Amino acid sequence: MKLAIDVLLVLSSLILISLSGLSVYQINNLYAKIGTRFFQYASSFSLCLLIWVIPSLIMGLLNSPEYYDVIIRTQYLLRPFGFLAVSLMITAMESVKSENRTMLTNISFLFSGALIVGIFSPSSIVITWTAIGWITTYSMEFEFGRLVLFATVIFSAVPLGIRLYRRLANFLQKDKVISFLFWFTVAFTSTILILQPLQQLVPDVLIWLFQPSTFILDITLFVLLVTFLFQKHPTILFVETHETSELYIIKQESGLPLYHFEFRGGRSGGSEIISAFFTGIKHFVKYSLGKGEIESIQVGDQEMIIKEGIYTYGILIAKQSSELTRNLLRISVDSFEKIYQFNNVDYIELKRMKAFDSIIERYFEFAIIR
Amino acid sequence: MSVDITGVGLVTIALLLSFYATKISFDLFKDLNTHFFQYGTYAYASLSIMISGYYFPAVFSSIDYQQSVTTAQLILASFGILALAFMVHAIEYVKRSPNESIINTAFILAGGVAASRFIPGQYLVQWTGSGWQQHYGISVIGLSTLLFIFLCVVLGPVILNVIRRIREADSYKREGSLLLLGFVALLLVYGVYMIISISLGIQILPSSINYYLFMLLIAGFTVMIARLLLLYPTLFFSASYDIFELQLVSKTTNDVVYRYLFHSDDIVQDLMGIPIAQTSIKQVFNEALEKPGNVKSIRVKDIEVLVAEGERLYGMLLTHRGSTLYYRLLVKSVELYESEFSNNGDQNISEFSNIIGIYFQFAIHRKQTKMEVFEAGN
Repeated sequence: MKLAIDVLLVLSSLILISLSGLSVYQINNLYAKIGTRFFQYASSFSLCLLIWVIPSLIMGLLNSPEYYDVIIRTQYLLRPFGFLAVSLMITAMESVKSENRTMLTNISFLFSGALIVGIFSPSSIVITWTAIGWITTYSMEFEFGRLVLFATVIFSAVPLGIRLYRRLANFLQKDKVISFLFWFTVAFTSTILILQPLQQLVPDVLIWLFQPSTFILDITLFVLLVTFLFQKHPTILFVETHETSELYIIKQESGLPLYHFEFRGGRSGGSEIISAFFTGIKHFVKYSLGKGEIESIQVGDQEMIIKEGIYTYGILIAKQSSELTRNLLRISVDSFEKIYQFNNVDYIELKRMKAFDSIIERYFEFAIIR
Repeated sequence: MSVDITGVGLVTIALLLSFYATKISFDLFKDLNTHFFQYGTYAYASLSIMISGYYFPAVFSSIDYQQSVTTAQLILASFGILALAFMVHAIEYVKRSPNESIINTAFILAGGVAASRFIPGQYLVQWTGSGWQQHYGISVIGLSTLLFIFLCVVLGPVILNVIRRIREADSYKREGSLLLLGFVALLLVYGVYMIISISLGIQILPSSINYYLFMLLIAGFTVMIARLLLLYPTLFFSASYDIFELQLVSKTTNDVVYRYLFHSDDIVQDLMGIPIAQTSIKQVFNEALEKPGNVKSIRVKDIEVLVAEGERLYGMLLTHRGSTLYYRLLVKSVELYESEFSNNGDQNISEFSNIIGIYFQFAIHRKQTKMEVFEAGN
């Protein structure tokens, strides 16, 4: 039996599978380090995307009408993961906006469920083999469901994009690779979306824009962009501007301030009085409750989160503590002690101070206001 | 237009009951600000939309309107399925650690069941000559059964916990047992009626009533649950037993005026230092950090003290881990004591303790509550 292969579809599917696998690995690493629901769901999204693209690979490999049964079975079995992937992506995006689950997340899962069942409806999806390969057409009801799911993505992504705009503009100017990827993905996706309803009017030379391999290529660009973005800016999406205001690292024994960072203005000094106050409160509460080290104090709508290190302790003043802020404070204290290699000194060199600055700027990128 | 007066009457009664339940749940949400009541309100509102869909068969009670009635039922009854998913969402949030994958599964299944009804031939509303009758295809029945099993697995332990709590706690016995018995009786009567109708193939009640029975049962169920929650707002919350002590301290004298212990073993924590520490902490935040406000919580290794400042009192709740619900309950306790129980008298204090017992029932690890009362200045 001779195999007829759609090379473009096979190649684009293989690239997306590899990239999704890489993305799962990278995001899992970030989840292990920073925690948060965002990375948990983003990793599940990449995994579902990887499974979703397998039917395309099989379509590309078995590009002949005699394999109709195999194509149909893989579509029924694996395509539902695409809808799950969309819901997981929305959940991830919503999780950076709010600590609580949002209604948009529920709606996305509701429509995913509807579309998964819809796949098994006899008239929903029709797959036919033509001279240019396999073509999938959908019923009107199924298209409506897909449209609603797409609309939830837009509703979730647009407010996030607006909140991110300034921050994105800032680093897109500096980072040429991400800037190129970002604008290329936006331009490519927009072209496909705009030309999609005008398919009949488009000249033959542009017909490749509507091929399944082009669609997969577009998703590949998106995954590539996300992978690069998180590698360099792991917390960029957590737009909690104004929520996290100050970071202190204080020596345990003496109560002397070793490091002070204001997210509105950068590293600053003159925090001796506040450090002394913190140390006093810490000791007072510890002895009056007699239960161990203090972890947090909430005053009004501000929270003081405290993390003990080996010879220092860190204090983060934030609007509300979250898993993200607690984990980032832990990373800050650990990194500080690692950079100074347990040099139990009260005053530290400027060079090493700058090295620590870059760590803070990387992890607290979402909170820094220049 | 041929109007079924009995049907319209039954739908109106069910809709009013459902609106009443929604209102109760919404008021509780405003009061306690928890996810349980927020999503409970969404569930009740969705049920109300589903019930309103039954106006179509009641108002257009003729074979001429079969298509319109089917479409209206198809679209509006889907909200009933959505209500089940909201119910799972609400119930998950009575647990200390809600499991999001359970909520995701509930919404996926609800979406699946709703979509299966739109598959041609899977859901029909047919005119029998004297009324309407619904027919379901195998996909709808299969997926609905799956959703039902899932609901039993998720909601079962919570319902059993509520029943156990009603049986154990004296304060719940009378009203709680009556409401529970009422619901079980309603369910049994409906169940027996359905078994007789289906197995013998006879319809005891006329079609105009028969078609609306399920909707009425749902409305009755929602009202019973809402009434139960109105009487005992925290009845559904998972027993956490992680609240140790409630203290009300005078702001002027720093004396403990009221103390409530949640466990029979006397884990009495000295919280006297907290009001003093509060002043220093407030000062640091206000003057050094320019972030004014009252101290709301202090978390130390394995305990957290929630602090609520009233006009004349500090309320302090010693817990393992605080939550929005605990804080709201503490604020309510301080407000209640200041407004109605501050004139010390044994009768008054005993009544206040009963109210505290009802609000914090989920945290009391014993059948008989125990309290210690201090008079201000003593």
